Amino acid sequence: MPGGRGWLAIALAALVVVGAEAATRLGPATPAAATEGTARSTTWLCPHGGGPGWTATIEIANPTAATLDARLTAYSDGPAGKPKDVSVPPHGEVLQAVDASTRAASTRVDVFGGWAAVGWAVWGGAKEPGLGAEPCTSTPGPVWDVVDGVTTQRSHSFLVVMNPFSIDAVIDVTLYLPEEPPVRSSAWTDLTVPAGSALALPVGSQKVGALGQSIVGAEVTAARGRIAVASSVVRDTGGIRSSLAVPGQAPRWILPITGGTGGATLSLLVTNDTGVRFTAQVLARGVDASPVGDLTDVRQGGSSTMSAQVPTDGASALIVQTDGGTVAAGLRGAGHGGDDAATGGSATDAPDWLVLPTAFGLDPTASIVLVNDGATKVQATVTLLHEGGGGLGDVVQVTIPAGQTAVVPGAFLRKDHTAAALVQATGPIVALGAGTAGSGRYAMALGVPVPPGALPVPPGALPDAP
Amino acid sequence: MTASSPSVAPASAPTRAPSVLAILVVRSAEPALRPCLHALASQTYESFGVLAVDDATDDEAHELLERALGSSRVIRNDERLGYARSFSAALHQPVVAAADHVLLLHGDTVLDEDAVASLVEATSLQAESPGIVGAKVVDLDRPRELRDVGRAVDRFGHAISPLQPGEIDQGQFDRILDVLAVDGCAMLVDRAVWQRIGLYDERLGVDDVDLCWRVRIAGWPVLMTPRARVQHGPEHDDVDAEQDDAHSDRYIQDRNALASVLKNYSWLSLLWVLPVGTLLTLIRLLYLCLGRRFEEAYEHLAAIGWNTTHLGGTLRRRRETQRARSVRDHALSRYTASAGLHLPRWFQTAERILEEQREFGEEDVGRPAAQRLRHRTASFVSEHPVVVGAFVGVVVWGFAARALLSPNPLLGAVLPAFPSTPGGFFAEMVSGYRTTGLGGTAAGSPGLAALGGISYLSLVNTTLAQKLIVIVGPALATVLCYRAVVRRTGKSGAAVVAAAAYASSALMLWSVSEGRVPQLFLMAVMPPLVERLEAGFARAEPSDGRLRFAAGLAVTIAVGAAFVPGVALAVGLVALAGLVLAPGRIRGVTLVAAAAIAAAILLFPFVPTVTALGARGLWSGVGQLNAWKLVRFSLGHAPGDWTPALVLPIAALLGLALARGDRRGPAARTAIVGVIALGLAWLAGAAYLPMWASNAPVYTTIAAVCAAFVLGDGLASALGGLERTSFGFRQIGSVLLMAVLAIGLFLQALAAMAATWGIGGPDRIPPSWAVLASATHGPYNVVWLANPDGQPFPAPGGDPAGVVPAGEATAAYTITDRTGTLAIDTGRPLTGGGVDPLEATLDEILSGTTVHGGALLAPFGVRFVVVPEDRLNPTAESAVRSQVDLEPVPSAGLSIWRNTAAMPPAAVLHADDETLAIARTNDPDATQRLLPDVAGTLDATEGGWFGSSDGGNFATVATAYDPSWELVGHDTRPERSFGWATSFSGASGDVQIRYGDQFPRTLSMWLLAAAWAVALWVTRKPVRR
Repeated sequence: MPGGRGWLAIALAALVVVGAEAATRLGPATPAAATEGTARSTTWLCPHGGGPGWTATIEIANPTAATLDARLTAYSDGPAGKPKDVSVPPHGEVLQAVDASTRAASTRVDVFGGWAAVGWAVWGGAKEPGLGAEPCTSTPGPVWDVVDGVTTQRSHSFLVVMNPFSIDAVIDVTLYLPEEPPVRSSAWTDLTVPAGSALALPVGSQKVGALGQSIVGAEVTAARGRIAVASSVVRDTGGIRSSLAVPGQAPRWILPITGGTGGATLSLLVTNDTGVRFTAQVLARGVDASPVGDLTDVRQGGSSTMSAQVPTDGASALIVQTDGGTVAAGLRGAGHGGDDAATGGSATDAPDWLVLPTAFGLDPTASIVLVNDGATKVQATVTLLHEGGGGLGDVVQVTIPAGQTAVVPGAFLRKDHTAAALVQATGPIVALGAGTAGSGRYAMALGVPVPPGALPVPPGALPDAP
Repeated sequence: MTASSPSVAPASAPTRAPSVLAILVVRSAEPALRPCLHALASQTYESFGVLAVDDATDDEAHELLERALGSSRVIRNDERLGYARSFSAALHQPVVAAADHVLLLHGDTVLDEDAVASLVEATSLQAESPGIVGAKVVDLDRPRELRDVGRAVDRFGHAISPLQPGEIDQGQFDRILDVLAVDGCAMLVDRAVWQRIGLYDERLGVDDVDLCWRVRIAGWPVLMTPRARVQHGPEHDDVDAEQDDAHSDRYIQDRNALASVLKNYSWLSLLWVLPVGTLLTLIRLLYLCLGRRFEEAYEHLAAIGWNTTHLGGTLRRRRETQRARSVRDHALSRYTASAGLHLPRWFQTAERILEEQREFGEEDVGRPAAQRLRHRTASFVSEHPVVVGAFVGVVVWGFAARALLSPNPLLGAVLPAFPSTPGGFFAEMVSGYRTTGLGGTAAGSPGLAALGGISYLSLVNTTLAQKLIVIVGPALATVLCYRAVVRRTGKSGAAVVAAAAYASSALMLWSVSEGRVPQLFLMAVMPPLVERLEAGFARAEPSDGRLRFAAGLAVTIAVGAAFVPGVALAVGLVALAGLVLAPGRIRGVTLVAAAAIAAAILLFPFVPTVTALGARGLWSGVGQLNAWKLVRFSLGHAPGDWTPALVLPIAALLGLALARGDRRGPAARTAIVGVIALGLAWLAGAAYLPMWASNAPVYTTIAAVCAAFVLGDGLASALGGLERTSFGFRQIGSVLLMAVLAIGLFLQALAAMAATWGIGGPDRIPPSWAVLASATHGPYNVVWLANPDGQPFPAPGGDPAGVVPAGEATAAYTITDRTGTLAIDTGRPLTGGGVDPLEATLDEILSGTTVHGGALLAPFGVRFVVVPEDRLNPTAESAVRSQVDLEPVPSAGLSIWRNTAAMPPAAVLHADDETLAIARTNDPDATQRLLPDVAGTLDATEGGWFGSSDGGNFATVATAYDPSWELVGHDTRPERSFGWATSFSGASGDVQIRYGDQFPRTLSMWLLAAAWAVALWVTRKPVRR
């Protein structure tokens, strides 16, 4: 190539090829992290239900150092209520009575200024005595599963479906039974839940055709719109319980239980057609995990539910692990006075939890169980968040051995049975609160995992326990 | 023009030889008076006399005349009257009355000795005696060169000669021609003619056409006889009046043509000639202005002005002409040629080409057919590369663009919506406030004036303008690339191939497919820009002087930056390369700096718009993350975005290797710039560059232009002379280059012709968007979100306006109104006080901080959030889904969320104390609690908004706060709402919000117009005088 620019051409060609290959390997620049926002907010949906004479309390616990604002809006099968604003003090909680006069009664809570946990507790009053509690959900979605229904005589199960949004939701409800095909009633197909309202669907309705079942699972699917669903069960013999539906199934569930008589009923909902194999284990205080009698590598058929009595002793937890298929689970605990309690459990664990109060009424007793299903010991710091605020004075530390459960000392909780408990652990755990009151009223409510970044103070910076 | 044989016998034999008196008007002795007189003395015609008019000569002419003719035959004008008046004055001499014919003769003509006899002979060859007989006129100094053999006129009075410039007399016109007009330098006029209609219209000087036309109208034939040969001096000596010396030839021609038309046509003919002529005049004026031939345009207007002021005299003469009329206009139509288009010249070119081919055919006699065809094709292509290239280009592009030629408006991709009328462009440009996006006072681009102008020229139809830009834009870019390469190499063949490679590049096809109007302008501007920039840094001084060069460069930069402000990055890159690599460093930097400053002046209201928010105007959200695709200049999926698109870069590298001689240095520099630009294009797309320096389309366009230039350099070096060098790389490389080009260009042409363009009919809009848009009413804004992958949003979202960094949830965004991306935002980035709050809001949403994003978006008038399917990362999509006041709308192809907390971009609210408190803060934490209770919607009107309050009390407008807003009829001052928007408390009844500070923008527009006028005047193309 005499006289030409051949070598330069070759060099540039090589540069282009090498550059292109390098660029391919390098990829685009990593985007900068998000700027910390100031408009923190969360919306909680509380399909708590209700009935004649019922009272409901919305519990809003603020673990942050800032005063938060909450806007509560009541929904039912009528027009939505007028929003009510309340302030939630820093490191404190607010217990706000809301309407629970209808089966469909539900409440939306918009929390502004930071993160707060929200849950509900319902009290059935004299006509339908009993206590129920659950955390609200902040993840409205299209599919909800719950396995807590009972359609035997003198039991009244309702699916409370709330649609606090601005467009109508159109839902399909499928009921799953232990030994019968799923029930898809035309009455509950393409059912419209009007915008800004809630419905209570009686699971034991003659029209639906799922009578006489000891355990009924339900899947509520919104083809349009977003909803939140919970199960509310009222027994003529006394006792009510609430169980928040879960927005998705999982292959593993942790179902804590405490505060009851020791007996528990495990329920599973399988919505796939092929079925799953699963194993249940019990975690308890001071002992290693042990399998549950005949619930080891059990096959559960597709599109069905099952329930089984599980012996538990005090603060325990059931671990349900499938062979890969996904299920929804529920655990019902029996109370001393005929009232029972239920939880849908947690599919995930987290280091920080906020356990909302469940013990209301006469002679209340609160208990909190902490579940460590991991392989290492976890240290948890529990701080009470009192109604009206008041700082972070009441703190206790609890050690949860690997593969075991632990309870928060009763004496500590008795300081304020209506206080919420902020649990900050050194490892992943699951927390659940339970309460009893009066003549055997009993409720359980899973704690609310605190999202990362919601707490301004890391656990290590908390003051030492007294 | 028709011919008749000179051998035709006369109708009646003359009884005596008609007498001829030559009236010789002399203006000076030079250049040919002596031979002229000598020739007159030598005439063979016997009945011939001469009367000379000394038109106030100041040299030896008078003496020569008296010596030759005697003082009685010489008349002297005391002052110069010009030919026309001198001839006219001479007619009053008694001696003239006795002559059968007068021979009007200029003093710089030399007659052949039998010329007069031949002229007289011609008067008796036809049954109908001619009124005027002209001679075959040849050049005085180059007697073989023809100057006149008779003329026709076009429909608008302009003379048309059948002669080519410098055409040699080979006897091709040697027959008596029946013509409309002959040259007046030697014109035999019958006595009946001048007695009946006179001679010249003295106002017009010696206008032979006008005189002959009038003779024709009066019924006399006008003939040219080739037997009478006359040598004639320089043409400019024919200019008559003194004042005409100050004007161009064009002025005189236009003035005389219009005057002739007004005088000589019948009223019936004028009914169509004048309107059509007016239209052609407008087109011509536009053409002249676009070509910066302002002086020519002025002279054209001056010619019209002269006719206007002299209309009285013209009408008077018209009456005389029409009184003498004996022939209808249509009888003269055979002497007129088609107007304006100069088709004859095209046909002459075609004739010449055919003639060449015929000659080749004669050479090829005896060769095999295939060889003959090959030889003739090769010779044709090499002789006429532009003709061949243009023909192939028109065929290929005509076929490729057929889908864009439907009667329906073009839609889809990122094609911006044009306003309904051309005035919309100008209205936005001169508006004191921005009517789009988030408002503010950022000025529109001066490019809007161009778009508006094009729309007006497109029959006042913006839809047609849109199509014209998309279809003609690539052709314009190709032509400008061709011209740039020609200027660079001087080889039209190389330039044609380089321009073809540029035109068929993946970048060009992508620009067309996506309907990228600004990018098409960029592709047109970039070749001359790069060429000019490199010329500024060249060793040689600019040929047209530094001032003119800098001004021209400034205009080029300004035109480009008006459509794509990122052109500034191109200028910087090429200038930087010139500073490092080129020989004329200091001069180049000086010129570029001066041009950049001048360009800034030419864009001065727009400069703050571009430089706002960290020079966001230079940024482009478009890019190509796939470096291998970028190597073939592909910025996105489009026809021709395939491996054969590598033809341009590969051919450029081969061209670089082949560049020889003085083309080596420029080729090497250009190639280096191109490779750097390609690297920068990737870095920009991959977000490694600061925002102000990130513009992948600009860098890619530079790279493509550089590749075309280097290819041109290589071809210019390789073409020709191969046989004179010993066999080696040059031969192999040339063959390789040709093979690459042949295959690559063929495949790219094929891809274009088989293309399904991204723009087209209504089916190019996602159905879900179309349904949504048709089902919703009232004004609203839309926020579009997608991954920052360098690709545009689906139609009609356009390109990203910014990127919200939010870690894994990082997303590109834009905000549009319900129409989508708009042409009135051409070149204008999203600006104003609302941009930062909008990005902060999107950050709140994408980071998952809030679930009340709808309320946060409400002050921006956002009713919908739209995400293209599978184009948003799961984290960001989940964050959007978690917003409780953004309701998903069932849709296919797009994920659409409706903002249930939305309010119109301009609305009146029922505002309680809490709402007012929220509106008056600049705290998103407060804004997210907003529950807007909309009482009334305000509609955009000229200068602001108007509507009924419907009982509301708080008017808020999603336009950046400016104290110049006024609530008409109220004393209320505007307030800043939500930290950035504009609002008025106490609104009631009919609410009219108006911008009250228009004057500064109006003034700046006048100044801008003045600046452009100066720049264009400095860079004008001078007129020939």
